[in-house]
Amino acid sequence: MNCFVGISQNGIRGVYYWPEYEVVTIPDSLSEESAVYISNVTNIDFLESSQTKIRIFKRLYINSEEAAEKFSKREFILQDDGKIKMLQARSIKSDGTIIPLVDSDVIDTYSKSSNRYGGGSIRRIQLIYPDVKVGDVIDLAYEIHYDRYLLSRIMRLEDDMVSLYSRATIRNLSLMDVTVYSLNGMPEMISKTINSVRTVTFEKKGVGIITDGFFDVPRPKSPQFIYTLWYPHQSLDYNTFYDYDANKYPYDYRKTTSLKTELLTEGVYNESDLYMVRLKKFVAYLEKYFSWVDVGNLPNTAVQSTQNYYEKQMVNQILFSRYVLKFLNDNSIPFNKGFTKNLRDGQFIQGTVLLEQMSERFFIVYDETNQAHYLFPPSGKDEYYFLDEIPFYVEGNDCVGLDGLRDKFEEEYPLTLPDSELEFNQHRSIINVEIGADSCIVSRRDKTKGHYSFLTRSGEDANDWLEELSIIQKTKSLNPISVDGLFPYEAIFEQDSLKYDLFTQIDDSLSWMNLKELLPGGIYVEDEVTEEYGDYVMLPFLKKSDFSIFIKSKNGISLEETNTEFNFKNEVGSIDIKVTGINANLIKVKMKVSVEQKYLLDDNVDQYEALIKNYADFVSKKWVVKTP
Amino acid sequence: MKRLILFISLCIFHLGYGQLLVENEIHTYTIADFNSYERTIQIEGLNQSHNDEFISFPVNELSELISVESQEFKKGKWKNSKINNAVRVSNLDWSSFYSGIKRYYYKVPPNTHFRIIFKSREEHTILLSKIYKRGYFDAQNTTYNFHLPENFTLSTSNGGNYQMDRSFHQNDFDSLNEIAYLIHNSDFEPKMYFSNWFEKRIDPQLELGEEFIPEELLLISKKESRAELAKACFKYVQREVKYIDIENGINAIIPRNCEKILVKNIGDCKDMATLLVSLYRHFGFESYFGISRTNSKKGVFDFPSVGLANHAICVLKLNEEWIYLDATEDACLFGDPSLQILGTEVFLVGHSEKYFQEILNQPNFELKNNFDFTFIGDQIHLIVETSGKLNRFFYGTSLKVNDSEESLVKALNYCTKLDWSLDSSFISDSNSKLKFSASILNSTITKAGDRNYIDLSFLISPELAIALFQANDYPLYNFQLATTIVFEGNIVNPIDGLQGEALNASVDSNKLTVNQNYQACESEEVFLKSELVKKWKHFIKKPIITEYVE
Repeated sequence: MNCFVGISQNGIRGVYYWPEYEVVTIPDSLSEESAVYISNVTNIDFLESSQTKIRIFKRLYINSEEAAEKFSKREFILQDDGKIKMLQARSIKSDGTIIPLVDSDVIDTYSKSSNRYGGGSIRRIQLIYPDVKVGDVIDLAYEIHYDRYLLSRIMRLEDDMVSLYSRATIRNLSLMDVTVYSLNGMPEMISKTINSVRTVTFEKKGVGIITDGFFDVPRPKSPQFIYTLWYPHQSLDYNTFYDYDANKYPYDYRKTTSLKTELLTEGVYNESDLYMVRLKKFVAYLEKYFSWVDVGNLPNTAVQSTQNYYEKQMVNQILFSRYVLKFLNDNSIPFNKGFTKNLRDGQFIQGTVLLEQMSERFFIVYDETNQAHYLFPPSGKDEYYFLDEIPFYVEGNDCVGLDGLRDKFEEEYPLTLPDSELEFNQHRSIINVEIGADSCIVSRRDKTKGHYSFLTRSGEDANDWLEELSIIQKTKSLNPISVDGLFPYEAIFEQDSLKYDLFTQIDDSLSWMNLKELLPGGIYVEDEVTEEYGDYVMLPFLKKSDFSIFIKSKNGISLEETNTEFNFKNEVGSIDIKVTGINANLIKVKMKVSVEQKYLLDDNVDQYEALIKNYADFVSKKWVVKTP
Repeated sequence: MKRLILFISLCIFHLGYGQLLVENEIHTYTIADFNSYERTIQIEGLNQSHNDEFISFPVNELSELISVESQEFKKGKWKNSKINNAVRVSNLDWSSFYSGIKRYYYKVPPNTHFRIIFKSREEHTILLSKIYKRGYFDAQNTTYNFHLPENFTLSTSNGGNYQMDRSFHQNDFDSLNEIAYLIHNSDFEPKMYFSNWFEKRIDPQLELGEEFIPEELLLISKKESRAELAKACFKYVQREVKYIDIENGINAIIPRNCEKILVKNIGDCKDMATLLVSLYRHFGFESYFGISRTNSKKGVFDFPSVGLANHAICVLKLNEEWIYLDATEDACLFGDPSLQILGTEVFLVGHSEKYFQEILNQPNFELKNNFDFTFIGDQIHLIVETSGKLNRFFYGTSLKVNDSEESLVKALNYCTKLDWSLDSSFISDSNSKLKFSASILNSTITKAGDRNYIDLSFLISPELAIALFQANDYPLYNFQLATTIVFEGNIVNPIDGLQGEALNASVDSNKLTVNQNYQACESEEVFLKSELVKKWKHFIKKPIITEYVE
């Protein structure tokens, strides 16, 4: 990342009237927590002057040496254009002494980053609390102003530490209308209008931690609320949203030339091609000939600039969608627009029109038989989704389809993005091991389908992904051979005659056969066994792996063990490994792994951990074989 | 490690010079006085890629950009090109000691033959410390020009002393990749100038009024021995001052005031070192502020240049012995050097008799590290005993974390791939004894015929043992690790080729004893090629075969 960093010593600023501190006793049930919020309060004000004001107050009790060290230096991050109008911090010693932080205890760091995918800036405010000890309370209050309205956000009372009391309040002093949706057992919404100012508050005593990790996401049913601020007297309905979207993604950014004519002339596709064939060829054309580019913040009505980018053969997510829109229009292919959100941020809620819910955009296109297909924009360079490939971070999520004629909205309809089936996300491998006089030679053929195919088939990073997915070991590579043109786009890889060191001589007749080099190191990633898991886990996708390893020796080979088969199965998935002597010169090892649940809760998280531990155990097993 | 990131749309972007070819890199330093100088960096090269590439280089905190010129070579001529937003100057990088630097960035357009010339005004010649054979950008040709006023000398780590104008080209480096240097007053030899420079700036920070002296230390000074008092001072700073790693510019090398450190109880290495020096001097001990190197910083700190150092400690003379005290390591015993300074060098500010001292790479206290495994039924039992510096991990963990037992178990699980439970523990600052148990895995024991074939992969590998007990990639000091494993059946296979100094394995009926001798070495590469690691791999590669017992 290209990162520009600057520091301004603005320090403590503004005025804050601290809530009075009363000594609290941390309940026994929280004695193991390293720190506990005594109070965690967020206020959001929408001002008349098109500004958003966010005021935070956090009062944290330090309950361990670890926390004393960690929170001696506290920091928070400001995205983009937020301005800090007030910043106050202090510590309250266990004897009641109050030590306010001074300017020199605050370091305000401004970082601007830009890359091919866009730009942004971040401010990091670091506060150095002097002499923090177990039993101290540290207070932090700050206020951030944005010179715009933060139109829609999802909010939770949960935070990085447990809290004895949390509150979130929205006050609407603007001329806009605010809509608040409370979900999944949020505390009762307290809504008041005082002096024409609408105020919405949620508060709760005893609030848990929000766990955020590789596999951890907020529970879909976790208490949350979503607000949306919109123009007054104009309800944010799908009609309005359609207009809003059509402005950024015009149905025709180039009025003079037909993309269809141009592509036909260039031979990208033929007049006789069916709709979906044309679309596939167009996406393949973009993938092959267009370079990935950072075009920063494209203006919403970027008719001229989009044309320029197309002519320069440049593409990114936004341009891709604009090109495809024009392509569909020029080819008279019926389509609708689809919207949903990343599952990492939660489930899409049907029936509510909230900008926060519409973060992922895609096309629903119809073939000549009126069959619907999905097309998602690429998630990055060399990360193109083919027709009907659904990113795994949205599959299974609800979404909304918006039907319209050009820029005129007609109707919305709910739908659910299909969840990929177990069978579609397969990794199959046939591995041949030929035992020679002093080494063994391995050749293999791997086939990946579905999400596996998406991750491994394209770009320079294919082997990195194969390694990341633990399909191959660090020092090895697989050569891509072909990608099937039909869903689930099976990709084939081959590796021919590589030397491996799989055997260790135990004595004159016995050897130890170690297959770890040939098998994936983990179910999804190699180090998942050391991962920290919360009580709700979302696995990337359902999957199935099937490995057949044939070990041949001209001089004979046989398995000497009593146990030739290991199996593990629970509610989350299964592992089966079986070694069979086919004949005097051939042993076959068959291993099958399947993961059959994607969303894991409480006990199922433990079951997943048991699954990966057993996997690690099975693949590290060394087999005793007889080799003359 | 890299992550399966498609959960989140993450953009990974590399700042590198992969597609940039730098042909010429010319640095010119015009020194006005010890506090100010002008620097010009001229870089010529090619961006051979089809994308923008970024180059960046560090400058010190108070750098003030005078001008930037950017040129492109077109039609046989250098022509000025638009700077626009191509050049950015960052401010600070706060990350670590001596890192009070900012960076200049330049965006090179694709397929360009470019030249950029940065001119800046800088402060503090003490921060001018190293020149590099291949410059910042792995340049094909590198030149460093220095213009010094009268009575200034540029001394180099390879013995050169230069005055007035001096240029360095790649052939001046001989086999060296970099040369450390110091610009100093010609009236002083480099070490003395360096010492004086720091002394002048540290002395005011050492001031410590009587009212600031911690009560507990005053009490100890009246009741206990001098050695106990010295130990108490170290423990006090180690315990009370929390490490904060924010460093700004010149403040990265100048410590904070001792009274402020004591009031706020926060500081970094140089602050803790200063406070210790001040406390010791208050109580009448001979002590020095030591500018030092941690063993993660390669090279030898034997020339007075800040570029060769990255740390600060307190050096105490107690009973005619030098003690190197680094209070940043929470679990360091008084008298032992911290892990990070073992086997390095320190410059004693103000100790003109001998500025540089070497810190031995051997702790003072007895080292014990025993792992005793016993197989019983479907369980493995483990007793771990450690002492001295090898106890750092257990003591350090117990100091900080509420659920230290869980942390210890996690670490052991990671090292052994077993699922341990902690049955009992005794942990003190100098020694510990912990008992664990775990279920035996399928992959650990294989039954074939009337034999058990036992995979010893659950034993902690030398690499992980070093990570666990020395928090490093290679041994920083010598120690032995003694492991015994008691199986249920007698061992039937001979242990061949595993006798020797580095690793010695022996069998007595159902008991396997393995003694590993860890020798300090200078890099991970050397360690991984050591006799111990080689023998370990040989040892672990084969199973232990025992009689099968029902």
